[in-house]
Amino acid sequence: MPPRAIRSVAVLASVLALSGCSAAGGAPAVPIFGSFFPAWIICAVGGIILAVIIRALLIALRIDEHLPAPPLVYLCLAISCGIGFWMIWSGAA
Amino acid sequence: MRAVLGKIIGYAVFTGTAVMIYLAWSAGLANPRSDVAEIEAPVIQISPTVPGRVVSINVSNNDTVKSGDVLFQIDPEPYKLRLEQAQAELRATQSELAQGERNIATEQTNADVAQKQIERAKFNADLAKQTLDRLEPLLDRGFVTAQQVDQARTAYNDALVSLDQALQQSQGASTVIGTLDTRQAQVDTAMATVALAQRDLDNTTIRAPFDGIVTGLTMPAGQYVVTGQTVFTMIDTSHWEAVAFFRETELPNIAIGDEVEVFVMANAKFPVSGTVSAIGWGVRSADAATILGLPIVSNSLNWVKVAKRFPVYVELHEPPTGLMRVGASAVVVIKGTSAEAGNGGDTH
Repeated sequence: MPPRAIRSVAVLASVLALSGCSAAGGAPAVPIFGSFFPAWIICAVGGIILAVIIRALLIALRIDEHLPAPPLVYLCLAISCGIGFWMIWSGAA
Repeated sequence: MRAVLGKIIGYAVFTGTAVMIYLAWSAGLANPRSDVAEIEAPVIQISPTVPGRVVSINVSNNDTVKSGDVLFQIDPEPYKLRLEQAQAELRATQSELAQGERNIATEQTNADVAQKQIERAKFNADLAKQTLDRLEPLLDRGFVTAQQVDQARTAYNDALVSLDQALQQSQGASTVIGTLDTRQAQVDTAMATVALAQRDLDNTTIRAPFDGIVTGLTMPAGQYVVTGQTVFTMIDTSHWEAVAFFRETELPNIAIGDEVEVFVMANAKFPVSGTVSAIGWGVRSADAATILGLPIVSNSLNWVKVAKRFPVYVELHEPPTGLMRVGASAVVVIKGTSAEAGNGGDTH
């Protein structure tokens, strides 16, 4: 479990770094199979995936059981990670 | 140790999320964006000014043309013939005018002759008067006969009648001298007709009114077209703009002159820069539709209403020609914040 999680983190970090390359910010819509998806949907999905990975990490480190209101923490984590991706994407950060 | 770390992480995540939400909200407010946007350009319908058969089309569909390039040619022959006809009519009226000038010269000469006749009649009358004056005193003394005096008086009266006649003739001859007004007007009319015919002939060659792209040309040469009939469409490539629809609640954050990034979805990697040139002042509302003089009122009521959208016009700076197509999808992000624009407006 931990090696897979680490690998996922590495992949996500590289994606993050790549998207951070364009300083001016990427397009707020992404063409996928002939349809334009808003960037925030992709960022939200990325945020959820990152939150899941962090959860796996926290469980592995046995911090998970000490969190105050874990569902709320992971929800907030997903939201803030999504917003973080979005800000990097749009060049605001 | 782990319990403390767990608590710290948990509350840090709560605080961080609140901060992130605030940052995202303010970023969204400062940079309104719309993915309901299209690339637009001024478009005109090319149509001939004069009717006729299209004898040749010098451009093909989707060609790029320069202002003044020949687009197509209407059969010029009828217009050439009409021009020749008008020119012949002009020559005829000019000849009429010259004839009129000669007539007036003749009439002037006649009037001069009549004027001279008056002088002669005056001399004759004077002579007859002198003769009568000389003879009358001699009649009492018997040097002349009454017959001779009567003859002299008659000659005098005759001379007076001749003088009257000469006066009347002179007056008539002066009156009869015409003017060239009518003939000059005819020449002017003929000249205007020639100019119109020349203009029609020139208009048989249809030229590009601006630099642009020919589109919607499906017609081969040979079709008969009438005035104002669309032959094809031309896109003015010098004024590309993006038209984005923004919610009315976002409009206060958009000011004319704001910097804009336009992502053309055909190649969204490189944004095109632009400035807001105008914000639409009106859209047609479906709620305000009227048919046959009465408004159509919907029976269903919506508790939640959706904000209306208004067009925001963005003038593009140096748009890449390869991406500019009328109707292409685009995403528009307003860069210049309304706060800056507003403050700038206040300080100035």
